[in-house]
Amino acid sequence: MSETPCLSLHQITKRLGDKAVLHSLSLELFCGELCLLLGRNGSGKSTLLKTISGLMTPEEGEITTTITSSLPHTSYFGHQLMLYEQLTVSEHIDFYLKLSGAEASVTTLAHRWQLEPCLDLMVKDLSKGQTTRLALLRTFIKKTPLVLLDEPTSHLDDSGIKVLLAQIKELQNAGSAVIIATHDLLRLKEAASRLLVLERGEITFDTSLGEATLQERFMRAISFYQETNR
Amino acid sequence: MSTLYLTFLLKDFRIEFRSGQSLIPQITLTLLFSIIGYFALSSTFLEGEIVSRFVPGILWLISIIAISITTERTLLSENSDRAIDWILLSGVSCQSLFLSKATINLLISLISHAISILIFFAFFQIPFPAELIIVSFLGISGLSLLLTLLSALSVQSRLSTILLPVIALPLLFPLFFAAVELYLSFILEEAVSLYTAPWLWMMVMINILFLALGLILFERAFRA
Repeated sequence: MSETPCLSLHQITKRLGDKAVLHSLSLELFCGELCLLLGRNGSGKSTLLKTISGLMTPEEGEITTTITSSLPHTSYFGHQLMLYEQLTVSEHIDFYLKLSGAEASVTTLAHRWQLEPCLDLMVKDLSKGQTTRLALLRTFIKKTPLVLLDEPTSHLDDSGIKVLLAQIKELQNAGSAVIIATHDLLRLKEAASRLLVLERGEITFDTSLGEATLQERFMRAISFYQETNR
Repeated sequence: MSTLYLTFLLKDFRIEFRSGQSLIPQITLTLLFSIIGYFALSSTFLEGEIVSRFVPGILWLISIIAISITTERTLLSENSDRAIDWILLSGVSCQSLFLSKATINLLISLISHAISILIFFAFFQIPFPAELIIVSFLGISGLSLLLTLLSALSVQSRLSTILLPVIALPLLFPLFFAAVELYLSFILEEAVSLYTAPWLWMMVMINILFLALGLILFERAFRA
């Protein structure tokens, strides 16, 4: 893991209407790190990820990055899956491949995400789990230095989570930083290297899991989880 | 840019072909307005040159209203599940997306305008000079370019159906005026190059202006 942060948030405040969802939030993110972002509903997790991605602009504060690539450096997966109802799965993958310039084939990617049986189905005819897989496939279609995932496991079964974790591992090995906002701590705890807890727009817990053993990680994860849901 | 444009165009064609989300409402509205317009004019018992003087204004008014109400529907697919967000984040140029949407809107609008022309010119037995094809193309392309740009703003508003015509109509007035003047000149065979040339140039310049504005502002309009 790198010693210099690849992303720094300094005193970020974001308001939605009159309500400040993020309060003077500061955070540093390092390359190769996988942060689990925990917090109750409405604590500001999604707003934080959208602000980091650039989909939302903060009213105050500064976001700086050391990522120098002129190419897009952020992949984002959100609550809205950003898909077209009238396109099929294979047309989506083909569209994303052409737009991102990634070198892969439709069948390879569909095979990786177990979407082959529904290649010719339109998105409106897919199950929630299948649309989530398609949206995740798009998120990982190109390796970017920063990956933001907002509750990616909500509709995934165990095999889907396995593919997701494998993709995240691959990105981490390539030096990408990953933030996952989730309530699904138990299924993601093994991959995490850092835990962040967000409450009322402020980070109240921030701990690196470092070299902790699996058992220690689990215990810490459980205690943080209980803390946030108290 | 051309590869990107073709990629967007193929995607937009597929969506429009399968959903008919813009084509069907626009043709329905145009047919409805044109038939009402035809009966309204017929009931006045006006004939010959006098009715020919009314037709261009009514025809272009119908086209502008029908197109401005339905154009933003081509952008619904980008907005409904925020598919546009991935495009914005992916770093690809939104200019290609603008051109693709404008092309789809142009084709649909040309079809609906042709229906309107058919109803008025055939039913009133007005001759249709070939020059009107150029005028129609310039008028409809100007409409499509401006409305595509403004749709990116209005589609995100809850008042979108009303908002687009309200913003667009004042901006479309010069185009409307030029198109009606040229139609009148050609229909009544009063076309003198000294008179028509400035109007044609004006339409060309408006098209260039709307194209430039669209290319520059489309992405900003979506981010607004």
